[in-house]
Amino acid sequence: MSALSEMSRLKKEPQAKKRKLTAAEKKEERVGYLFLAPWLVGLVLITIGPMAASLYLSFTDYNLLQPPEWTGLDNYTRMLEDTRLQNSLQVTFLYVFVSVPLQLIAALALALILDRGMRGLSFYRSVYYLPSLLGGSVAIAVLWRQIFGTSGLVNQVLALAGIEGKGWIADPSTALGTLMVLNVWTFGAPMVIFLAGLRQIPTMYYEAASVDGASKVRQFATITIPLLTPIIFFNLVLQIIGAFQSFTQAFVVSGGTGGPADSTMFFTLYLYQQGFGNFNMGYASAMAWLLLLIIAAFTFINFIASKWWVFYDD
Amino acid sequence: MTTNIAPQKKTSAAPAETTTPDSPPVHSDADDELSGSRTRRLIKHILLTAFGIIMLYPLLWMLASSLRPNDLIFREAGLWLTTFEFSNYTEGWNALQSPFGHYMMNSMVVVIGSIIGNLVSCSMAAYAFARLKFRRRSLLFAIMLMTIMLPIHVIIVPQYIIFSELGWVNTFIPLVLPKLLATDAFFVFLMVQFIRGLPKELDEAARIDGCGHVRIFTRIILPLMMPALATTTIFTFIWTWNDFFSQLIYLTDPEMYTVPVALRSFVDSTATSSWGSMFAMSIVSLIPVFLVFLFGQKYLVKGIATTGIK
Amino acid sequence: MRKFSRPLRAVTAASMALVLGASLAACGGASGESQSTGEANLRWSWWGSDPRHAVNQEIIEDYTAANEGITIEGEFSDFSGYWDKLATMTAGRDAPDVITMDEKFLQEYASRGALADLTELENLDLSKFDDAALDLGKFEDGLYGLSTGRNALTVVINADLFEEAGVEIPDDTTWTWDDYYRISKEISENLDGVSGSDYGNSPDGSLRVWLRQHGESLYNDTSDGVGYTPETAEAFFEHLLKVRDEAGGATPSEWTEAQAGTFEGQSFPTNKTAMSWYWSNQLGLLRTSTDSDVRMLRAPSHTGNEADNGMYYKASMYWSISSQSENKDAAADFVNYLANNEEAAKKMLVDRGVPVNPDMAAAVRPELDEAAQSVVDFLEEIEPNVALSPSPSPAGGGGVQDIILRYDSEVLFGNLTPAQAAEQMTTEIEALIGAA
Repeated sequence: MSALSEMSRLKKEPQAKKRKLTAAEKKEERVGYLFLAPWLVGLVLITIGPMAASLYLSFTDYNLLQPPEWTGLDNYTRMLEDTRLQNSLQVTFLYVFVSVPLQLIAALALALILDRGMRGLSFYRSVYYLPSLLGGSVAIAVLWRQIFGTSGLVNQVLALAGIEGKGWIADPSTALGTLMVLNVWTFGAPMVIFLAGLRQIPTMYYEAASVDGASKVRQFATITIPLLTPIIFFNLVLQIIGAFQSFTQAFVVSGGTGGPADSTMFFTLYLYQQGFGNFNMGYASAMAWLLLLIIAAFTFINFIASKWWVFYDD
Repeated sequence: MTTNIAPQKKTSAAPAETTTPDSPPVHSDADDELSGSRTRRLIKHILLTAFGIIMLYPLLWMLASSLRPNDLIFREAGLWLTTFEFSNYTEGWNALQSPFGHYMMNSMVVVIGSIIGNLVSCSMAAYAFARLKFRRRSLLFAIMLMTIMLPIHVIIVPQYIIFSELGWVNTFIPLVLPKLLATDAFFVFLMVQFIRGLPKELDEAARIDGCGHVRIFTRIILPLMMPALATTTIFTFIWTWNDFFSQLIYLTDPEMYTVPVALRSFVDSTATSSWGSMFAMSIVSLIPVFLVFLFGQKYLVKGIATTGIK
Repeated sequence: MRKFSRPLRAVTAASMALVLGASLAACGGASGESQSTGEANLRWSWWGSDPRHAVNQEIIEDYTAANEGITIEGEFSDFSGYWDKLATMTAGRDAPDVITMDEKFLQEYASRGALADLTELENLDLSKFDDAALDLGKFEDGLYGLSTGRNALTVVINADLFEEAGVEIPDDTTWTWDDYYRISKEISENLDGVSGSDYGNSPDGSLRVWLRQHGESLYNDTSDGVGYTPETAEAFFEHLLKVRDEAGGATPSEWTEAQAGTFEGQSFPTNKTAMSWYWSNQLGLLRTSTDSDVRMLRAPSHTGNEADNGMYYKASMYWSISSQSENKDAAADFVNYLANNEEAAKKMLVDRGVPVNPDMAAAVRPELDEAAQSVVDFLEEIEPNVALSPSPSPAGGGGVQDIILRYDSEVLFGNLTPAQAAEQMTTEIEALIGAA
């Protein structure tokens, strides 16, 4: 699928150096599967089964308490008429398109600033990672009210400037925005990955460049960014997948309701409500596979597009 | 400023095989301290600190809340303490059947198992995907990516049924075994990207020297992907430490509960909750995570850049 | 190694067999019954926070000390996690033997054969429970949940704020909605930063009381549709708007903010609202969190006659026994201990509602603090005027509370008119319980 084109491109690449015999290729294949063995065992024993089961359940009426009943495409046709589902898709897309780029820009910028260059950076790195440590803690629910509530921190600051705030978290027009802020604010994970990526760039490139008299800006544009593209690509793909599946933060902040008035009803939150709240696990499974198709499509596009901007050293 | 303009003193390359991340870092974070004027650095510090306070606010607020009596937590906003109540810590530590340390030990077992699992199995899979040629590689790679695209809520019930049939519910097996079998595709993909970023001449040189794949993997690739391994360790630690849903589902006996499950046991959305205890124990449970980050990030920055390979 | 690359079909089939096999086994129903109570390992699940965990642990210790050969493992979690876990365990045929059940999900589990009919278990003595109490746990002809105790949705007022505002506490046996609006408005006008009232903290409870005042109900008798007319639901939404616009009610965003938050962070417990709606078992909590004199009042009526105030009893929780249990008799014996033993009752007090068994209520009363005693008295006082209490929510009704809350917000934020909201809400509720 998504990786097909990517991989076929790879295969065609450097073959010139050494003519390999079929025997050697066979050996490499054996070694390859040997290295893959744990993953393959896990795939067969743990991953594929439940995935296949959920695909099957998506064609059934399954309430968890009784055996599933085959209903064909009913769940899928029902999705077409489900206005709440369509609303949840809108909410999710908006969230993905706004918060993923913002989060990645913040993460990259801070990774560059905190990479090296002055004393105390390891301390700053730790501090900046702290919000991400909290994860989906219940504490976030209380905290977010302390910040974005009617009498929260934001409004207190605004009041100093003579502006009257509002209940950001409870107003349908701004509630999703506060969750986007929450997501951007927990940029720790991609930041760490960027930092690790920056450290992997061989210094010899910079040495060579400075011998050639390239300016820092030029080095940044011609060395840092290109060599970081595999990592940027990774973060982009995974953050998009993660944002589409975003659940915990909305669940915790809205108390599981997706409110006010469905304004923070993410797709997975709705799916969860259908599955565990309304006992429509069949419908929830169908929703999950729709989500998989959407995410797979985005990932596919990402992989295709990556040909033009991601630089691999192989 | 943002990029390192190669202050390396050690430019000659060590033979690839002998390069290990243990070789002393050639420069430290402070290397570029000399560049840039004093005021510029001061401004940078001020900005970073100001921004840092915003980032720290939640933790400070949790700390403040953990030192307040339960009924004041919601009536007093902000960080200023009018009372200083340490009892939340002693009460929270002993509020559940076992002392809170017991749950932290349980979490630690799961976390350590998961870290070992992820490090070993994901790096192996990543090496295969990134460096070896075999048939159906692209298909398997695509399948691997697909496995992270389904939300856990539709996977958990069939998965629970499997583990239940095997009699593994209420053990740590359902939480650790998947990690030993590289089911966390996030890390496989992460390591694939890192390995592909490593110069390929390294392993080709090694192969000419007669090294097999196992040696190339263990002696060259693994040491060089230290940042990725550190990232994996840190993330696995934090995410497993915080993972509520699967631990809730698979652990039934309170003696087996882990930190996130125990923390939720302080809170009841319909009646009285021990918020003070919850915040106090949240702070306590953050300490190991924070230490791991503080310690682990040293390894994040020990990449190829500091070992000066050519 | 080749195997791995085979089509997924084989794997799918295998996993399917596993899932189906396990699920189909669930049809077996009442197998493995009638084991002597002599020896059994029971599992008992509940939700709550640490004080409840400690109390239940003591109960387990007392019971197992007196019943040799029985061990009980308590399993607990927070409310929302509890239901995810219970559903998953039930799907995996691993449900605990003794289950704490909620009104929202009782029929869901009972109608799917996941619970045992308690009337068929000899070890459980139901003689002290009157019909009205038992009806709360009925589904069709069986009894699937035994009420742990009862609660009522009441108006709570902060008497300190009333005094500060110079507003008199009304006579709740005769007060009307107009009194309610007037009082709310006066308090909002007289106090800074305090709203007179809000829109309640139990979206379905408030609606149910309103509907009952009009002789209607949320669900019909056959549990397959709504039991109200659109006009009455519309009138309810108009009432919310009236509280918002004419009675100085809290702003919709303040209220929504509080709804999704934690109990302690809501506006009444933080002294920002003088009058609201809570379940009677929350009185003690409200007093500690507000640090004020909080009192309970009957619901206002349209007629000024307390007989028309529409109040009802709700089972705070239920004890249920899993149909998958292999130790139903032992489980029944333990539930019997929970429901009919004074020692157990004295441990639980009114944490799970006021015991319905009158002997237990009498045993518990002297042990209670003043707030809890007043709850016991209050529930007794209103008894003559509480007509039939509603049956548990129909299967599929677990999501109805969220639906009502959402339409409350839609109306209060002005996104929908009361008529539109009433119509859409009805369609949605009917789809939910009809589909189940």
